[in-house]
Amino acid sequence: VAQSGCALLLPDYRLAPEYPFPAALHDAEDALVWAWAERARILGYAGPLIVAGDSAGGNLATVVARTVRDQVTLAGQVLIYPVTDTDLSTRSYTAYGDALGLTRADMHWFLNHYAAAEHWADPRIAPLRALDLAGLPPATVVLAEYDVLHDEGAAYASRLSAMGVAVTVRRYPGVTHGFIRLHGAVDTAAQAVADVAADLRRFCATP
Amino acid sequence: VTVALHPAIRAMLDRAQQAGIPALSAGTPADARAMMETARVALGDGVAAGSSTELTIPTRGGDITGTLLMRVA
Repeated sequence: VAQSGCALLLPDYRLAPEYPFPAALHDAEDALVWAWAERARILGYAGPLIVAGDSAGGNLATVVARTVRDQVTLAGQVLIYPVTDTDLSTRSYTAYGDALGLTRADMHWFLNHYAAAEHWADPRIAPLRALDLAGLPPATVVLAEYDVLHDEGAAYASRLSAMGVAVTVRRYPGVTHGFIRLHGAVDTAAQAVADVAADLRRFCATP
Repeated sequence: VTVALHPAIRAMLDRAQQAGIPALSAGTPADARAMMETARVALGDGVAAGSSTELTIPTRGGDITGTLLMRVA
């Protein structure tokens, strides 16, 4: 907020396992549609709308960008080390899945709480498997080098680009999942915050 | 380009291991949320946003709350 100048709406969506899939997605969809319709009343002007999230929030952000694309015009999407798939056997899972904060076991646990296994291939959980990503808003995809989610985030950015979506990939070396929250202590994280803020300003400035 | 783990992050991971902090998946969802909240508090607040307003957002599952942060001009 301080660096981008953007207003930020944080919807308190329902959490799994008390409210399993698709409860959080429905809340996120409805909140986004509501924000689009009400932004002039809330802000005092009908400014551009961007969806953003980190980790599981990045998953929800890009999924809702697709599922409500006929109802909402988004100026951009910011996906910070997003969950984009349910394949826990990628190179980054193999390389970093045991001991760097977020582990393979953690992700399996999160997914099990979020949705029954028969839903894991659903593109509303695994957006990397969506057949049609065309028409989505321009994206910034933030990747952390030492993150089990690195490869699926990179793959998703490539899929978006192949579908004609403008994508900026920001890959930060030497950092782990969740690093951007360390912006007060880690220079790389502070730089990432500044980079994302610049992208937000660019999205807002693009007609 | 692969580089070594950032020294500040390496130090945090080492401290967590020495303190015996369990994995997020080691307990219940309530435990995991409490750990995340503890970490959030430990990291401190970011730059003050300016204004914070609680809003009610209607959804098909019922009303949820939302927090609107805005920079003061």
